[in-house]
Amino acid sequence: MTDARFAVTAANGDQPPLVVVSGDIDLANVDEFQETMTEACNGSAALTVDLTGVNYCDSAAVRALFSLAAGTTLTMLVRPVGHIKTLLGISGLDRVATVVMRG
Amino acid sequence: MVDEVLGSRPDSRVQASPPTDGTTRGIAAPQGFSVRYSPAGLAGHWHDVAFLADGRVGVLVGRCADGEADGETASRFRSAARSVLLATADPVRTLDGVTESAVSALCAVIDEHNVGYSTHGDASATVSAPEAPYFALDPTDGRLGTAELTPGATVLLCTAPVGPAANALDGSESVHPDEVADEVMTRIAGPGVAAVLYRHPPEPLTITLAAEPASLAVSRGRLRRWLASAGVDTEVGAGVLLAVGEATANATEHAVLGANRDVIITVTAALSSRCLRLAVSDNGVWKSVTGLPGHRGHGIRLINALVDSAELVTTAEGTTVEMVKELRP
Repeated sequence: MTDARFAVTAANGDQPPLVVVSGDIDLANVDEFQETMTEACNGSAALTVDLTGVNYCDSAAVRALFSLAAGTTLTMLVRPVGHIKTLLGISGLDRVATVVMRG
Repeated sequence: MVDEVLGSRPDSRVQASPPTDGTTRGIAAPQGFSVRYSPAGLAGHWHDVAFLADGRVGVLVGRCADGEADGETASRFRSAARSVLLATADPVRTLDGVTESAVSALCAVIDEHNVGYSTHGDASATVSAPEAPYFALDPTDGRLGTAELTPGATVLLCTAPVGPAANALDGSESVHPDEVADEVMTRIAGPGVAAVLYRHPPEPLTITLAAEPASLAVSRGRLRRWLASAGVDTEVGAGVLLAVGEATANATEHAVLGANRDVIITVTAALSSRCLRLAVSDNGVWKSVTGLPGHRGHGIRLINALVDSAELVTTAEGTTVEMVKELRP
């Protein structure tokens, strides 16, 4: 079974809410990923999603992130190497959200 | 690193030693090969991996223990040996000119089923087949020796005898050859060695699972382990995993959208001649697939960006996505 963990930190002053994701995301748990982000966002104008601990994700996750980016200012933290950076570039998600290289 | 093309044949490529980066890790090596020098920058030792015109791969390891002249003598032998190797693809003729007792060298030529080799001095070769104990190849003193290579076999070529360090090869067939090479080097005793470790392509992988989201992680885990056992570079492997994952997820979504019977997805992977062939098939006979959300385009674009070629084949029996990824030397 696809296994991911989500840690949510509420907005604090100027800091937007933060979702830290680790593990794998695919069709099996993408709904949980999307719900977690939507709840964390909770109408906030901005959301930060830390994907540096993600081992695998595919275009199912990209769809979820696109849908979030449509309603809020989305910032994603990703590792500078690896397939997630490729995924964000090819899908064009890096044009509708801010991608920050980390680690 | 030197990466040069020798001779007029376009595919006579040589990847050469010695490393100068101050580490035994990270020495660029072609698909299936791991190269280690211990200690780093070890003088008087060398290796070459050469892609021969007929598709075979030639490997040379050698050392010269000749005091002050270490580097110069090694360089002369190496240069002569690799020229002959590229011209003849013959391990015996490659070492013909090596007569000095100070030089130990081994030349191996690997094809689809065998390794042919010749040794001079105490350079060593060890072969480990999956689920069998490793064995040292007999020194040949300039004559030809051969050994069969079964799928997934590991060959360790070393400038000196490896002794019990070869125990690290037993049961290592599912471990990435880079990690196996590291483990061998930590166990090896003696003043200094250069080693080339080669992993023969493993048996093709076939995974058959029900087309449901819960299958994705299972399929991914098995492909990830197979790619490691095949010695595929980790970054390249991550891209392949994503391409196959997208194709598998697409087939799964199709199934969820309503095939008229239980859908089975088959994922296959095979490696030969540094070419990965991957296929994701399903036996779904689809109701209308019109009205699919536009996001499906991401998956297709992604697959095309991650592999060298991708083809969708649809028949009455189902749909197959065939992908090819070249693993460049």
